Amino acid sequence: MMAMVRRATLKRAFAKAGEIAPGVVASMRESADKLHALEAEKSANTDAAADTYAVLFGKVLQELDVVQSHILYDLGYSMGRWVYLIDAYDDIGHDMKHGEYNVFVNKYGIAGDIPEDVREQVRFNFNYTLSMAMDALKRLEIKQNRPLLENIVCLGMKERTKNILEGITDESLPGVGRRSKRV
Amino acid sequence: MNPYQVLGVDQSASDEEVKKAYRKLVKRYHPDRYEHGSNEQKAASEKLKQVNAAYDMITKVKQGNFDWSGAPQFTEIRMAIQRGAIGEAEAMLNRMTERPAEWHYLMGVVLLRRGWYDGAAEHFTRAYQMEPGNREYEKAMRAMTQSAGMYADFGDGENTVNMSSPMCKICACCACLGCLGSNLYWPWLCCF
Repeated sequence: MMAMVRRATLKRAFAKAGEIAPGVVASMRESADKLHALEAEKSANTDAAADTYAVLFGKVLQELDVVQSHILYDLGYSMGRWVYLIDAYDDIGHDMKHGEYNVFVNKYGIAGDIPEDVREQVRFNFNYTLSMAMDALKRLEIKQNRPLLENIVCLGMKERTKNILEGITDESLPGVGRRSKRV
Repeated sequence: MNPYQVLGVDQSASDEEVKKAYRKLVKRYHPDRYEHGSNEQKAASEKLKQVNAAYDMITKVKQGNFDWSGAPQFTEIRMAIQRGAIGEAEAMLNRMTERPAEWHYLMGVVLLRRGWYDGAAEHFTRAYQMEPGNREYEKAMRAMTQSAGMYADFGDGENTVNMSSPMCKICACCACLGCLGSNLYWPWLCCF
């Protein structure tokens, strides 16, 4: 019963989003389809998996100010990539236990504890991704809230990355549904 | 998309000429010039996004400081990357059966432009492993390591070299006493 209510609500949300930004809804479906396909083939490609979220975030952000669309796309792309990967890394334990798709488990053949050299590679990946977000933010002309945005990208996301790499999770923070869900 | 065609400039255009052409088009398609919500404004916005993407492609290629030191079979691929035809370059690379160091380096460049950083780092590392001492490959690895390192150290208040990148293991170019012992934040400056 609850599942039916949730599906109906989601369907209405998609319909509403379609009225406001038809391009975005199409992008959302495309991303979900691509992710579903990658999961079905048990992809070990972190870039390809994260790209599904990254492109979506890029396309959404670029609509905020069309004059700076290219810079906003870059910022969105890096943030979307980070969101997917940080969630996937955080879920390694859970996904291994429940036999669910996890790009990091597939890529590095993780079967138990995460080896230090893997952690190092992942740390580098996150730091580089966030450095690209910071780079885009620097190029952006922002009339208001620059300090807030910089805090989010340069401190908040960095802190969360550090915590997750060290295995410190905050149960109160809502997760992002990175697994593809057909609607 | 041919970015030079979109901006209406020659491939040999200077940075200043590219910027001038870009500004002119931004002015022409700026949303403020059209009635809010009109079809003309929507069309202009779409055109502006295309113009921005073209300008972005050209400036990033120019920043990449690409050189022409490679083997002849890769010249066409380098030219495609130079003019922003990343998709074309990737297709050409995928068709090649021989994959020497330069193949990995150019694939790294293609993936980097696409935002596929994991793959880019892997290919740059592979290229350098196959041809140690190659300055072009070393430069590519170091650029990624520095960006990641700079971000990691941001706000830490320490002027130390961050050597946590896995690529640091195979490239010892920052590991000279002058870098490690100094307050230099840009280690590569001292290594030349």
